[in-house]
Amino acid sequence: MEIAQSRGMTAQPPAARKAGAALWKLLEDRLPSVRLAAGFALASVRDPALVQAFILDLAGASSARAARAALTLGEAGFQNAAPYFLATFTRKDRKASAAFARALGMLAEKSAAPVLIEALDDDFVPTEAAIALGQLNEPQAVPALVRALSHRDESVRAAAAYSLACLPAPSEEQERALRQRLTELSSDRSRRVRICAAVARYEHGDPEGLAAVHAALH
Amino acid sequence: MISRIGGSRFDSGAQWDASAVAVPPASGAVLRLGSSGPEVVELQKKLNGLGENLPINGTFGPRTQEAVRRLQLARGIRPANGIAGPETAAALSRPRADGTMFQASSFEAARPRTRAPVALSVPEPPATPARTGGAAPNASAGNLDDLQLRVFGRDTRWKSFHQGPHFGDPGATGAPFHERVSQRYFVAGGNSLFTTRSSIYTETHVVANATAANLVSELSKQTFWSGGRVEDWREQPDGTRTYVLKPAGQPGGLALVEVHERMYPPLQLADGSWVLRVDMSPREGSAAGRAYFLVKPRPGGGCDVYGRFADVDENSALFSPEDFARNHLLGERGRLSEGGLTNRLLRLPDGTGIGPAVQRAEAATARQRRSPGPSF
Repeated sequence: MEIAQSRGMTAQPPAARKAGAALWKLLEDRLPSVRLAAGFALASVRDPALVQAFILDLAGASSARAARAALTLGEAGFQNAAPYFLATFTRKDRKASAAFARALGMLAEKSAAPVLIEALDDDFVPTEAAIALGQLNEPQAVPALVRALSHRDESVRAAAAYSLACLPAPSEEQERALRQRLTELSSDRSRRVRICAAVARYEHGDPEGLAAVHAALH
Repeated sequence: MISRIGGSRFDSGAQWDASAVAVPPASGAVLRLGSSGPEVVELQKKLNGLGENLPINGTFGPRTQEAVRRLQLARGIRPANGIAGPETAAALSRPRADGTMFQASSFEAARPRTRAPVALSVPEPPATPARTGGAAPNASAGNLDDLQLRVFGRDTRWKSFHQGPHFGDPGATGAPFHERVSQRYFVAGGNSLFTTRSSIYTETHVVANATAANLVSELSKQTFWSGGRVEDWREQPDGTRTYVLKPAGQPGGLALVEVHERMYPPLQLADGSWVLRVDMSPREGSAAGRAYFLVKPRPGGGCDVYGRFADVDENSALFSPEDFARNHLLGERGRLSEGGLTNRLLRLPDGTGIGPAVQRAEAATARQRRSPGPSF
């Protein structure tokens, strides 16, 4: 709420408030198609008053509600909400922040890269941060993702490997180092990690990549 | 939480696995994570042409998927799920800014001057003095997929009338109008009325997220009769375009076997509105029906669309573009409302009017006339 208010988002016409509230309700509908349609509707919104009304509502929502909304809006491409997701990505609320991270990734919000890299390094919602970083197409995320390949949690390692498959390496040298590190993961105890690492090797042009995928599968 | 979003990319490791030995897709098939073959090579090349840096390996892997998803996000294709279907393929084959929306050379000839975008990142023609002729309203505006529009909103009445193949795609049945436009634009409101008594069809819509120029472009690519097959598409020396439509079905139970349509170049009015005229007839050279669309930009972005179709006498002044525009610019009311627009739209040349608002207004006038009024 403070964030919204600090941005001058305080006065909206009643109609916008009403519409925002109605869309909010639809975002919680039991039918996924309705939720997504509401997300599309919000994504279509060009009216600043309605966007403000919605953000204000989001600011006052519970973690679970905000998380659900964020995921739906991310899927629907509600790019107007990206600054809000970024601003409210705080350490206080793990559940909502995890969803915000995913939404930022889905929206390909490049300005979120530093925040997500920090979250990954600090082990705060690391899986979601790793996934989102793969969607931003920011080569600067590669070192952080490489570090995450050594994470104790296999979900994080697999997410990091998969995201590395999505990103180009910044330089030839890093490409070689990356392939080397991914190759080491072929002996990881987690099959999921082995598969994701093999896919990443293939995507990074490793001649042994396809064979590694087959090996990881069987 | 991760798996909540459909087709979670994280689970997609497994999808990709299955694809490591994927069967090449059939020509024109949807390409997705796991696809492989020459179509994927083509896709990757096209994506690289748009600034991506994908390895051309013929395998639709995570990196290609993300590139497709980014393209979809940028072009307003929803959901942006990284699956390359027909809409994405169309977006790839139509560059953003080269103005390929119109195939006809006369439309390409004149490109509007542009000004800074307002609501969307799409230039809109400036308000210029009225002009006619092959002034393409879009040219540098690119195509619909460039508008970053979201798909939502549909008006069934609009849909029922405007089903037609994609113009400029002769011989193809194409997507019906409501899929091409109504779903692409956020139709925030509207009303329409069809009456057999007058054979006048009227519709009004507020299209919230499209520039007037782009909406006119889209309208001018449509056939205006109901769905069918376009044949004998021709651009005429006078700038009009003609084609024969073999309808698949008609609203109202009509059973014409073919319709000749003549589409005139959009006319831009002094206030920046656009008027589009289409004549239709069961035989070439006559104008048994005519449709006009007025697309009027809204000050805060988006535009209003006023449409009218009627069986007409070609010489009727009621249906001249100038008269149509004059009646609908609504300087004094300027609002889309039952009391304003409909009153005017449905007032016939003989002075009679139809529609509830007109009837109410006429009843009030009649009461006033009957009333003796105050005496002094």
